[in-house]
Amino acid sequence: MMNRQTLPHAWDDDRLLEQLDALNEDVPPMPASFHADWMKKVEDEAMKPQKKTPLRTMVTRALATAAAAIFVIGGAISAQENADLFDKHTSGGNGAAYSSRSATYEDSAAYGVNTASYEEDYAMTGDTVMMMKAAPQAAMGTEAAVEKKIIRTASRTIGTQSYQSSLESLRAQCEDLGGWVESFSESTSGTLRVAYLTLRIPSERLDAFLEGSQQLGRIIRRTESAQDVTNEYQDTATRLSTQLALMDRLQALVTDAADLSDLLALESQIADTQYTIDRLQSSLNATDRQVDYATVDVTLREESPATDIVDTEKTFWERLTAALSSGVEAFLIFLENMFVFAAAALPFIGVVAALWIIVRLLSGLVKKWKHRA
Amino acid sequence: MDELTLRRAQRGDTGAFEQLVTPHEQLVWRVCWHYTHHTQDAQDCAQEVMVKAWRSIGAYRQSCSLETWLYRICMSVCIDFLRRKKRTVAESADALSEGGFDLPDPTPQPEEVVIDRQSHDELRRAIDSLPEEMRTVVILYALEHQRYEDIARITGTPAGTVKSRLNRARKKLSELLEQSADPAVQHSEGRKS
Repeated sequence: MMNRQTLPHAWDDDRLLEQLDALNEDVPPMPASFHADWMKKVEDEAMKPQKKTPLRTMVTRALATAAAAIFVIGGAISAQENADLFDKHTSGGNGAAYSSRSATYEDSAAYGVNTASYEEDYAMTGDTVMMMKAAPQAAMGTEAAVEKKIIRTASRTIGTQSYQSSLESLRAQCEDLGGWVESFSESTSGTLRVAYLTLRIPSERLDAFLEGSQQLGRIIRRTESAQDVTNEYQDTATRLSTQLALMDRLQALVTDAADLSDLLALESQIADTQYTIDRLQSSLNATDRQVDYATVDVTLREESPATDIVDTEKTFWERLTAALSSGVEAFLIFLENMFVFAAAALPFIGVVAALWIIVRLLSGLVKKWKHRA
Repeated sequence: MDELTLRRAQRGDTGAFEQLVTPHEQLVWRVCWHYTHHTQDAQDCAQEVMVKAWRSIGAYRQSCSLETWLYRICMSVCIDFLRRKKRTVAESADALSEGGFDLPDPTPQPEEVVIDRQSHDELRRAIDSLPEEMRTVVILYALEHQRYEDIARITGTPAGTVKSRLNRARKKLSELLEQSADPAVQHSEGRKS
């Protein structure tokens, strides 16, 4: 029989809580097999094949993967385009024969066009040069003989498969014609050598030298120029004559000088005049040297054996292997560019990752703050 | 909690999962029993809790303690279980007996023990008749001794809401207990007279 006084109806909070807490005494002990039973269920669950990933997760993953792929591939292509800006030559089947990594060779097909146009220009230039050379003779009939002062310069870029022998021939030709090698330097581009020479060739033998240089290899580029410095030379010569005449008069005055102060003034004047004479003479001499010996800049480039210019009929197997080979090479270049791009993108990825971490931390703090609030 | 063990469990190591969860299995058992008051049902619920925990351990990001996380799963599983079972508040003594409760000893017992057992039954029935959200906070607060903040994290509601529900639950419990006590008093008074 229940005693009303003991019935749990007149509660204050502490009393109710005590009564509720006492319910824990009724909790039976955990069954002995409970642990083993739930472990077995977990292990059975673990053995089950993986559930299908929800569609939403799959779509999200696919989009993220696609975005990453576009980012990387686009970057790799961009890197390749930037690299191509520095390569003016691509290896091809039209006999170019230069490595794609050398930056200064011209495409032979384009060069063929340039060669044709250059020959026209050269003919013009040659005529102009011939006219210039003939000018002093023509002028002799109309005015007092004025020796023409023409400074000739030329440059040649020659490609050769026999680098060493071509280099030796070049030096020999130069010396045989009475010239000399003013400067020489050599470098290596990959496995191919390049020589840079500045030659001084007697002007009257320049044409012979240039003609002979065509035998050394394939002419890639050539230029010639002729600068007429006759007027400047004449002006300088006239000034020199004036100064020499002045010197003679000053020296005559010195012998007649009675006064010491006059003597000193004359001596000073003589010194200045002598300085001017020396300077003018030096200028004339330099011009004479340039006129007498043309300056020829020669660049000699070693070439690897050229491929056949004309496309020959290839068998299916040859085409297949060629395609496979170029495909592998292109893929390797792509991988290389991808890694280069990834390295360049690393700082940006780092910044994005840092921002993501900050956002996650802040959102966690906001959640905690909301809970506490 | 050992980070390494957690990582291993998340990668599918059942041994690591066992290591993580075993210290809390008593908690899971208790909560499931408080909801179901039935040994077999409590066992079923508790096993379901463990399996659900295994399935979702990969998504556990340590935004709360493992205990809080397990409480959440317990609440969810037990409420779903009760909804499925549609178990009523009033249970017969036979049902309690089948569930593993010891029936009162037929030999004369000290009055205090009998009263305690009956008052416990009354209390349990009163708790079971509370609405779901009130029952949850009462179990967590009064039986599991969780703080307001922890209950808020477990239930995903603000701490203010938790306090409000507890206050209403206390009032409701008092009303229910008074109602259940009055008929007994009336009956005993009637018999006396």
